[in-house]
Amino acid sequence: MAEKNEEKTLKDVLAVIFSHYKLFLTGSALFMIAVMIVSYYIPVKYKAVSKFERRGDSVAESIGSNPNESFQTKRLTLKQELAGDKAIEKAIEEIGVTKNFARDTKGELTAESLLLKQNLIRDIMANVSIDWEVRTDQVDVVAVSCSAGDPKLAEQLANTLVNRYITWVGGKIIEELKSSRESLKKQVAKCNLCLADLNGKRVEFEGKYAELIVEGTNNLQERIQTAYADIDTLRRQQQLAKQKVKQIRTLVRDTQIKAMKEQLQLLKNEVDTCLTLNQMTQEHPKVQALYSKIAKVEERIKENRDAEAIVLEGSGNQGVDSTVALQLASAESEAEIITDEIDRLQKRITTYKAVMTRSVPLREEYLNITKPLEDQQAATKRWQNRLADVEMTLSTEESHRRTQLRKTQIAQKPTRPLFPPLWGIIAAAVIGGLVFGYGLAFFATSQDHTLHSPQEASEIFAVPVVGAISEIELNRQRKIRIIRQTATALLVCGVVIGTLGLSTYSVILRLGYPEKYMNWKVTISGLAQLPSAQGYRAAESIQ
Amino acid sequence: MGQLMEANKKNSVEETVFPVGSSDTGAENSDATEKDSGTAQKVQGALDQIAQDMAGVTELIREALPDEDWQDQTPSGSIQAPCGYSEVLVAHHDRGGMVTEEYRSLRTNLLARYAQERFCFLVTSAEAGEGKTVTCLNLAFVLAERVDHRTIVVDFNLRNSQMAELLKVPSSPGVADYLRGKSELSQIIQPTVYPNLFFIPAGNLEGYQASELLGRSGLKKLIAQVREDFDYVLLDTPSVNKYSDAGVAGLEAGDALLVVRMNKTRREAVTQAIQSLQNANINLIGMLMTHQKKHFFN
Repeated sequence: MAEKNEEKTLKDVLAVIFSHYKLFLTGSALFMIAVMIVSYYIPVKYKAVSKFERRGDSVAESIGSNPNESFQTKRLTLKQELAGDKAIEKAIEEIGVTKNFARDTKGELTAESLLLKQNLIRDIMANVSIDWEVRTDQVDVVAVSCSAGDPKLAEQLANTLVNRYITWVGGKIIEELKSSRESLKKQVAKCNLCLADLNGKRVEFEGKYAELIVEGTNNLQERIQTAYADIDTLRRQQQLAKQKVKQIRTLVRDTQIKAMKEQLQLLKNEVDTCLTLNQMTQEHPKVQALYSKIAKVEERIKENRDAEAIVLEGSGNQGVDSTVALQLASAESEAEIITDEIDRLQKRITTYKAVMTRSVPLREEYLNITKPLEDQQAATKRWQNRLADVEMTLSTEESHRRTQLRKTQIAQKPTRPLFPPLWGIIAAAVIGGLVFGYGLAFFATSQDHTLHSPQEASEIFAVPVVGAISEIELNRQRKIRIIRQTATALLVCGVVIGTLGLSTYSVILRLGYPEKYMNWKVTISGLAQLPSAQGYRAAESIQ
Repeated sequence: MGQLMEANKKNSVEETVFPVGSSDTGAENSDATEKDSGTAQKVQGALDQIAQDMAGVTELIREALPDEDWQDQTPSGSIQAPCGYSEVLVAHHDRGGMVTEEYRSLRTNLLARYAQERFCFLVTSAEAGEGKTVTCLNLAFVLAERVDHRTIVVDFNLRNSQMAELLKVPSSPGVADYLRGKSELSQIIQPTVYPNLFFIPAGNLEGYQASELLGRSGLKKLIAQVREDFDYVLLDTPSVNKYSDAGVAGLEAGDALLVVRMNKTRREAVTQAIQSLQNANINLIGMLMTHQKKHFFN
């Protein structure tokens, strides 16, 4: 008696449906009708979308918002400003939704009306959504979606909220720009004053330490290096000059020695002449004089040979050409000049080094004066630029050109409701109906403990089935059954299909073609207002 | 039965007048004849004797019944000829029909289970209204097509007899009368339009309880007698789950056929019925499914 426990196949599913097809069809149809009827009572919602572009403006952003706040905070702020309770309250007042609300003698809303208004605002807030799409770094697109039961209200609400927001933000920006302009002007004036003060300090310092400030440390270092190089050059020139002097002096000495040797020879010849020709003795004064001269000349030759240089002195420079003397003088002069130049350069180097030693603290002091000055100049320029931007933005905003906020899409009156979705309802009805019908059939099958086939009986009870006899139905019974079943089927199908069709038709009209639906409803209402219907209702009321 | 035999001897042998040879059934009969060809020679003499006996019984019944009733039950030669039987007895009215063929199939299956081609079993069900009586009668009709075998249907449903109503015959004297000792067996056996098919109605309780009557020794004697005199004995009994009558009759019959109505009888009821039959030591030869609706999925 073990029951089969196999996986359900499509054939099993179909068998379940077929075995209880009446239950399946009825359940499915009733579920569909129920879905249609329920959907008929779901309040419809129309959606209208208005979009505006929000351009990034450094001036306005610096004024209007905190740069440190997060995107989420900005989003919430935008939502509050755009569709907050106050914004919606003003919008509905502008649209005139509260026009017919009950008021007291002073024209103020009564307590009930205020409560009604609060509820209305809360409902509208719940049905307003804001989508913030970042298009580029500078451009954001904000979409305001309003859902309402009345398509006109949805359209007006979306447009009014966006218009009011743009106007409100524009006014706020103008006010803040004006305020900013004033503060920027003060800031620029303050910067100018500070700049003038710093400039005065700089001029005074530069006047006091002009040389030290003019030459920078690097420049001085370069100059020292240059001076050293010049000194080296001059030393080489000095050496050359000294060699030149030496050479000229050697030349002059040799010339003088030669001349003196010639003079000596002449003196010696004169002595010989005196001794030989003139027969003069050694003691002769003339000879003695000549000997004395010879000794002097020899001494002088000897002295000249030992001396490295000689000083050309007037008549003493016998035998030396004046040109050579001039050259020697020139060379000696040149050597002296070079030596003087070297000394001068060395002194300059010493001076430069001293300046360098003193210039570092001065330079720092100078930088301490010039750096704030530069900063102040930059700050002043920045403030001036901002002031210019603010003035330009202000003029733009005042001329209502709205460069920051621009409406890109005006909400149109929606022709079809957003909710409930027509195809969703139809799909839910069909799928849900089939599932529900199958569920009923499956439940009925699971609760059905009867036997459905000889094989089943044989397997369950392990008793052979010796035969299976079809249902015996007499012609008369069959006719009656067919007539009864046909009539019942026609009646049930008519009622079910009619109800289903009517409900589906009304739902399709209501959600898909609202205008036709309204016309249809008016027609139905008109039929209900016919005299016969009125008479019937009157009779009913009397009864 | 002795009286019956005497009557048969007195009356001349009458030709078999019942039209059991329709085109459909004729083929099956010929098949059966071929199947039984091995034993046909041996039983030929016995069959002739039975045929003579049957003719005698028919004559007796003809004398006992009013003329108009006899006319109603006499077939006119046509299978579809009205005879007063209920229309639900399709094995009689629509002998070439699909349902009749299903009964013939049932007959074949049952005969396959009994090598001696003699059986006696009770037809019962788990619950009332499952088609026991109709099944019993239709099965008897197709068994009656075997002209060389004698069939009898006994209505043991003493509480709510429907068999006589279906056959449009008086419900008494019958089993109850026999068990009360008011009638003899020969008096309660009723003929049908088929010469080899007989019927014993339920009879009149006359204030007795059915269980009380069935508990009498006459039951055993009755069943033993019909088993002896007839080849095929069908005992129509009440539902086994409701009354113990089937168990009592089953003790004598030995075998039982359980009728189960498809798409109506609960499995639990069938289980209980099988259990009851097993408890009564009755051999369940099989189940017969009725009210089958044929469609693609079964």
